[in-house]
Amino acid sequence: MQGKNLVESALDPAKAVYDQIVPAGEPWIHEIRQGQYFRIVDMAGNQAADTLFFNAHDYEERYSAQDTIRAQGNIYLTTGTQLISSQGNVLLTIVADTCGRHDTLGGACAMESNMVRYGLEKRYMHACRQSFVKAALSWGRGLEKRGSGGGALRLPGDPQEHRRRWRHRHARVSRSMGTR
Amino acid sequence: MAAEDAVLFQDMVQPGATWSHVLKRGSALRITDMAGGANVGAVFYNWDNLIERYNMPDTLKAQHIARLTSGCVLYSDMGRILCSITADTVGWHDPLSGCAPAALVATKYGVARYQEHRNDYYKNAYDGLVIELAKYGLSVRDMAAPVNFFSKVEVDDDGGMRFISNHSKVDAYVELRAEMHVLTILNTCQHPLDPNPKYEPRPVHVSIRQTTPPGPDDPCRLSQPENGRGFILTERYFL
Repeated sequence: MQGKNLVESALDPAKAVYDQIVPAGEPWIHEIRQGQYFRIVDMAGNQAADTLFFNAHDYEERYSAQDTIRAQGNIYLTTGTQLISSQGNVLLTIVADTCGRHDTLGGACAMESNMVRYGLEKRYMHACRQSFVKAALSWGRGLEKRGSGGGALRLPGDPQEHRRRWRHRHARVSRSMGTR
Repeated sequence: MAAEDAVLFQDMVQPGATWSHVLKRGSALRITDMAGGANVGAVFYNWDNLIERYNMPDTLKAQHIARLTSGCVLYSDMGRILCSITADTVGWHDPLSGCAPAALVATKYGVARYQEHRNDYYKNAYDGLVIELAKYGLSVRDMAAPVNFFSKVEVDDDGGMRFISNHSKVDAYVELRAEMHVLTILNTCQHPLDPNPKYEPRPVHVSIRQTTPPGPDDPCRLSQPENGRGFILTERYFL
């Protein structure tokens, strides 16, 4: 059993080594080094931040939703959750969470799945998987669609995605040096 | 359900083994639990374009489900249907839990190597599936989120996952109708959340039959509007 585990971070965002606003509907890709802390802030409320993680040294190893939920015996992510890779290693640990519950089963919306879910005419609606592919292409270095595992981590987690599908807003990402 | 007299091929998949076949569009694969308590980890790829493959999140959210049974379909990441579940005497198949890697199997059951145990050595589903993938030119990065047929994992209101033991009975079966040419890879290792402390994978029987294409009144097509659109996109693919 795992309820919402609300924990505030002691880190000061003013001291972050990197700070950027991600506009609604835009991809963002970055390397987070071992020992650093990575924070995502919902700036306007009700935002989703679909997220994929890869081992920066080996893109064949990536975040696995199934291994993550099975390892903790719970489908929701919150403080304390270890984000497990496809090879069974811990990629990141959630150490602070003021939302309390994040979804990892909904994946990311795609033009193709939106046609199935909402109507064939929805093909041209903006979709997050377009952003993932765009980010992977811009990054190069061997990242491509086939390595994503079809999964995505969604922060925060509202399983009723259809309620907010027209409400893409912006999020802020920051990266702090660790003290480890 | 396909007719009994139309069996084109049948075989037993041994406990802990991996089996693969390119299931042709218009044929149906029946998987039967021979001993009760079977688990079958399964991944699916479009044989004509292997980077299109079974997508767990798209399958679940398109059909508003967290378990698979008859009337459900398996979606690819391209909005198309790989397989439809046309018959099911089990009632619940687990799409959530993934498969056990070698480390988990060693932790739960210990290590039994070929060196000492010959063909009774302990297998794990992850290695079985990725070895089979490699035979088709695919690598570990191509590993999809597998379905666990014959297994049931309930989720409570707080998100807690619970494996239900003794879920599948002897002779229970599930039947998949291929809606495109589908590289199908099955593995009969135990479910990763199975609390049984013993290494006891079970065998399954597989059989392939010719089947009729899904008509306008097909139950999988009509189970919800999303699947109607999924069939349209799949049929367009073959124009």
